[in-house]
Amino acid sequence: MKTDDLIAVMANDAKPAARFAIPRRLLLVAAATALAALAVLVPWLGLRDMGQAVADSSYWMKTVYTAALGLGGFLLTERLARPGSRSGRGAFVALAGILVLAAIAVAQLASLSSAEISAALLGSTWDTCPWRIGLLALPGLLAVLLVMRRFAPTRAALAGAAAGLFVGGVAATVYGLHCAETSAAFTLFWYTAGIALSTIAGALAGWRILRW
Amino acid sequence: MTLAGIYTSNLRLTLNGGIPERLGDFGGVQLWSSLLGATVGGHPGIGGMAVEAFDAPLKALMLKGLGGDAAAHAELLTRMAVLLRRFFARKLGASDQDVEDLVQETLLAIHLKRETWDSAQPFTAWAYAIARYRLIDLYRRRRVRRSEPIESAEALFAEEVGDSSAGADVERLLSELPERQRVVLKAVKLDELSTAEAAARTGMSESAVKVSVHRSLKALMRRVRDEDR
Repeated sequence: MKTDDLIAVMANDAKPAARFAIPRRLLLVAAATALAALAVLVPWLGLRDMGQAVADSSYWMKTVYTAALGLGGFLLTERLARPGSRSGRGAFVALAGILVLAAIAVAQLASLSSAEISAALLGSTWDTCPWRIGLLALPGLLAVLLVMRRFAPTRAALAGAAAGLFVGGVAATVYGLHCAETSAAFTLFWYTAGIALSTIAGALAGWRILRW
Repeated sequence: MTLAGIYTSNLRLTLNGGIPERLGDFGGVQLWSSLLGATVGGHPGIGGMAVEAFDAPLKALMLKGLGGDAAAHAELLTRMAVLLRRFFARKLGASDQDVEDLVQETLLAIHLKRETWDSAQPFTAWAYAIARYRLIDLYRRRRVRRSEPIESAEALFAEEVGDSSAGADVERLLSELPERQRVVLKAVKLDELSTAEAAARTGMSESAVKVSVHRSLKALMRRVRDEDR
């Protein structure tokens, strides 16, 4: 086919395009990720006493932290879905979240004895928390990668990692509805580890399937 | 504006001496020096006016195209074809068989992935990023090809294909499309029928023709990607 013919066919195919297609679809993915994680979480592990949770500042600390990582991932994904875009402020948001939580964790640990420090770091669920978050993120990861294939990421692995961070943050926020751990250090280590699992899975999968 | 008009306006840009160091969020210098040609490569850092002047008409066409204006979309793709052909020819050599295929692949991506352009950003930076991505992909595919055995001795006697704009690869890919899509595509492209006329000829509904055309284009792009994998 000659290039001019191809252009004629494409002009014929020029329907009005959707505006803000990328952020809109990614927001849908966020909602789907949260719903899917919730649908798995409730019958599997159940919710904690939410009346008690919302009165507890540590619940909000965890929620704001995981939501910040999710937001950072969203912003990164939104940029990296486009050819030639730089990563922008998403990385800054995620990094700021980590630094703030690290500062809180240090402040909390400073006044504790070494036995208490170990209890604050490990809680009672450190060995299951990351895996559970990773598992809860899995449906969202599939969804976000499928959506990303419609877009045009030119750095496949990085775009996949950003997508994994995005849905990992959402899934970890949902996991906070179950988990009653309270220390900042626990959140910093094990929630972050769970989100990192999702990020790494996203990078590996993205590297494989986000080329076009 | 005619194609010759674009050429001269590029030339004027060149004579006025200018490409700026940076172009918004993107790697501007690389973009302008490579999409516009080697002539402007050595003159960085002079004002933002030239960039505006060059990107603005393309951007305006893109915005109209996104709004559903087929004529503006065709004009944009035609102008881009000229720029891309020069760009790839410079990278690969003018007689390289892959130049026209890369032009077509990039145009397909500009068309099918147009939702990924952020209208707050320069259009040309986005288009350049796609062109560069297709070029890198070609290098990768060639590396794969090089390791394959030679098919037959006849290749020794094969004549040089004269018309490099024939797009032989895409032609072959086209022949692999499902019958229905191929018929519709041929009606729309070769006989320059409108969607309505093509619908009447093929006995399909107008919306079915539109869907079929869109699917064909996507299939073409997928096949380009899946080759040599």
